[in-house]
Amino acid sequence: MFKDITLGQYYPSDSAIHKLDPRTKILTMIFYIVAVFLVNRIYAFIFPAIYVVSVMLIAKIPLRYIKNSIKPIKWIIIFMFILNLFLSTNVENPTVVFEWWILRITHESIYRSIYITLRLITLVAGTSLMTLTTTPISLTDGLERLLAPLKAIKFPVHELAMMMTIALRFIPTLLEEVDKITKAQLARGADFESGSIIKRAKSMIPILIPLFISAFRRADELAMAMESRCYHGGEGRTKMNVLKFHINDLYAILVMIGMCAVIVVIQMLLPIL
Amino acid sequence: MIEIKDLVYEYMTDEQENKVAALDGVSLKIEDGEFVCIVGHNGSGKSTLAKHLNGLLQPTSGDVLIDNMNTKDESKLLDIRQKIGIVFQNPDNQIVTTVVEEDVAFGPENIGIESGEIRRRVDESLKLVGMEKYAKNAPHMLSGGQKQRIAIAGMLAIEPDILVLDEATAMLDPIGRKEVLNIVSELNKKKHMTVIMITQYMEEAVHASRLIVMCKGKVMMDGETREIFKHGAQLRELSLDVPDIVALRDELILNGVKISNNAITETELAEELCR
Repeated sequence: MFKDITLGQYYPSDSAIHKLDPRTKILTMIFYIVAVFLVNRIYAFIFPAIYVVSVMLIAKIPLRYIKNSIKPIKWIIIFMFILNLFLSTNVENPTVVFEWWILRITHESIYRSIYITLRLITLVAGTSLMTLTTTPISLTDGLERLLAPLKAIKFPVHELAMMMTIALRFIPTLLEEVDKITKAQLARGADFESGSIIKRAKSMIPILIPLFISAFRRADELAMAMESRCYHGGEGRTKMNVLKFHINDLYAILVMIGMCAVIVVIQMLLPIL
Repeated sequence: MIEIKDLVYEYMTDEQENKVAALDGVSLKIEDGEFVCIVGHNGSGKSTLAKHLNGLLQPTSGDVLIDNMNTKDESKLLDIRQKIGIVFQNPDNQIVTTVVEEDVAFGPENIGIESGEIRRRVDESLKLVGMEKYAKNAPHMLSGGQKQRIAIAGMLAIEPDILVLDEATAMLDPIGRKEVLNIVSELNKKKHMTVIMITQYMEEAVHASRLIVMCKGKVMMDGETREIFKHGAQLRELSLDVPDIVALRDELILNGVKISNNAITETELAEELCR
């Protein structure tokens, strides 16, 4: 039942975006976040929006994936919207729209709420572009390379990347194991479905303990297998697939920088709303 | 060449502070290009022996020499591990990454080979185990036998001289077991790789030219497979059994059928009977 799970939200495709170097994608994502925070007029959100939509079109990802990526945080968005609606009232001479008891909605707070909501949506939609177009494993690879300079201050970059890789590798294996243990316990008369929340949580213990024990055993065996395969840390290690920047990577980064510049300039020229 | 001299390995049991000897004075010499099978029961020390071969375990006393390099010499460990590849029992716990070809590349990457050469080795190793079609697959989608072939390919990519299979077929179904056995037999014949197969299954020993029987940390019998199978009674004393075909052969001889006690495979026995 867990055999076909996909990790993260990677959307497989063969587009130019998918083929970009993972380092480029991480960097453009950082630029994108900067761009979104540079926006201080509502109309300027059109630029990140155009960017997200066009990248998705180039990457051949259905646009409904934007909706999917926002879904998990919809409560946060709603909460932020309401909070801002009532709280961002400390401006000089506010134009009150609605007032009742201690609650007060002003023109400015409505503006502020819409602004925050748009910022959240564009942030999440844009950053999910990276996870949609990059496999977790190449992301790990990209991070390892990008963080490589931190080795100078003894930051365990390679070890972190290796841990991520192994975690990703063992998620399906452990899920399969959970399935197996659950069935074994059910066959012994375990009951996971009835009773209060506390009782149900307690009934998970007979699944978790065997799972932990087997995970430790696996870790031990894996360590031995890795050592047998000459693993001795990141020192002197090479890679089969060496990451290479292509001309497209340059374009991607230029587009991002261009967008930041456009946002700043347009907002200076058009200080409306 | 592997040379084991008076190898003793003791460990403490938790409850009482008694020392238990998992290996009790093992001396062996294995030449290049041999196909050796080590059989024995649970607790006979055969897996402990395997882990001494590449220095995963260190001897309590005695020495293990691989091409005259002692496993006690820590500076030589990496060289030793390039010479001797061990494939373990559980295929799931040997695969490190999420893509088959990247996993095969793990070994060569560790020893710092440049990327073009790794690519060549990975392609070649996958071809040797017949898994080149699965290069881009996720390992957890493969069958046990296929996973174990990937684990073997991962070892082959390091280009070792010696391949050790530590009960590598124990968790596989009959088809998977056959696949793995065929591959190692081929590697021994065509690439003249030294193969050491550790197993509980006497049937698998038929593939090997030399058979070593272990019991309670000691080598009980050591010789040509064919010769050892002539001593069925002695094997049964060690509560090991000869393969079915050999048992049938002995039974036939006992009942007065005039055949030699040389045949150890089905075809050999059939030929013997038709003569």
